[in-house]
Amino acid sequence: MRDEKRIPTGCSEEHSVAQLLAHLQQLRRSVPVNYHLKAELKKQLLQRIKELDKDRQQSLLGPRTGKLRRVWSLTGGVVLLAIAVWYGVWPHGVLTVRQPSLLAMEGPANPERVDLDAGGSRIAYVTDSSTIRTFDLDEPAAKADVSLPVDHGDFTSLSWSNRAARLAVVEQQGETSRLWIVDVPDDKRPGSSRLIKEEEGVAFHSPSWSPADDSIVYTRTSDGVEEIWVSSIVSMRDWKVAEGSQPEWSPDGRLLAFTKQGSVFVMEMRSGRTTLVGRGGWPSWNGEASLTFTTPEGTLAEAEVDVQPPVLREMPIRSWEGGRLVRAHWSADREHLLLVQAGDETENTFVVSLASR
Amino acid sequence: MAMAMKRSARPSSDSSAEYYESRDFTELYDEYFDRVNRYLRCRVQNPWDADDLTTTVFLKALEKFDQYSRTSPFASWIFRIAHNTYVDFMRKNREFPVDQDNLLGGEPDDTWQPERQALTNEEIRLLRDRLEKLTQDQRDVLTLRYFADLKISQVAEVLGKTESSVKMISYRALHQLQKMYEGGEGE
Repeated sequence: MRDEKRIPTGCSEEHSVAQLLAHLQQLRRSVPVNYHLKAELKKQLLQRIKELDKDRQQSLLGPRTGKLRRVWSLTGGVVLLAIAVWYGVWPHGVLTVRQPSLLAMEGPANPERVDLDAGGSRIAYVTDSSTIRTFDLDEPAAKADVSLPVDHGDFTSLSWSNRAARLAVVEQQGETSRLWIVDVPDDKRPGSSRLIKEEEGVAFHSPSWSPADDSIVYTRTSDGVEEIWVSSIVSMRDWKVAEGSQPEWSPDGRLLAFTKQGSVFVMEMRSGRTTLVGRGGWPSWNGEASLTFTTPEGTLAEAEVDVQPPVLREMPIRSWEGGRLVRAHWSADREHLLLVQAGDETENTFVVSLASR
Repeated sequence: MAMAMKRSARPSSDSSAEYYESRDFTELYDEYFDRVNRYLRCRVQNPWDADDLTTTVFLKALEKFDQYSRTSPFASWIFRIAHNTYVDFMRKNREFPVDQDNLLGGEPDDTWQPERQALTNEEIRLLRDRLEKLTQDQRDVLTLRYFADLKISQVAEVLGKTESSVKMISYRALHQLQKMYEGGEGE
């Protein structure tokens, strides 16, 4: 239909504008509303309201404790500063292995079965393909298991979210692959889990959260073809973004790094423009426009990707005892780096260490 | 809800100086979700992005709800958050290149309102194309006024402009838009 029919000409100017307003009103009514999202988001908000209520009650109960803690923190900080000055060392900014060989993993050759939380203080890993275990780096001996409602399949990979004690977990059961979101239990809340996606005849891998934790990007392999898909955990929609694997969102969500045919690429999400970074795999962002990845030689490379072509250099790690690095993954605060190293004798053994700036 | 989100119930009056919003967050959410979702679906090409932005808006609103004074309309407050969220999104250039078929047609969605059938996707596309030819201020004013359904005073509050300025921008934008429709521009 032509506009002349919708908005007749030849009338007075005011009349035409009135017609236009009526047309705009009609168009407004025709824009669809996502009522499914409305219901789902309401549940999420009600849950958040409960959490805020709890936090408020706790903050009302414990202001003195908080003050005391601040005093202790301040004292501790001054002591640490004095020690650093005494030794003439200021380690910040230099990547140094702080906790070597904190975990040895056996099983399928899959370095994505372990991840570090956003603050670099907690590890989650798959133990024997059917158990997810977490522990605080301060207390490595106090491990806790996380359960899912089903226990038929094998857990193949996991990823911590950026803002909460939450994991994205992939379960593979025969030909069926499932993507779960698991809320890790703590003193205040029991754990819970939600199935995000289930598909037959495919295998999901390498999940990674969007900066706002509202979407998960992952690899979907079907008939040997690796594709990168995004699933919104809010609207429950999913869509393909590229061909490749091991996707990782940049901290501002502008870029997506991924691996394809043994090389690392970066894609601008808006335009879809893709840039080759270099040979290697397992890209992980350590800045808004800077990422690291492991090279085929088992070293760590760093790339500045806001210049063309990207600038590459080898990233030194102090106190690293050598060995072939398989995967290196930054915590969301970009201060800590999880290092997954191949075992001495077999590729089926991995040693996990932690380096920090 | 239990936390300080429910306050004394007093009658709301949008027009008087004694305006007081007494409803709790969930009631306001029920009322304003549709308007915010429509506004963002009108502004952002990809409906999935619009839905994600809608989620962000209400999560932000909940976190900041204690800062809402209740003596000014909730519409101005929530749409200021919605508008800023949209501006941030555009600044970060996060929009995916979108297949136009996905825009409003594409796959069927039974959650969508039945009225959508009454108008073609072509008309919405045309409007979007024509809005793109207006200035940023004109687009902001028209979408907040006619798609978010805000009053002139509320649009002024969201955009930090005077009411007379908003009226002038709106007047000029409507006349320009009307000329485009008359000329069949963008078809």
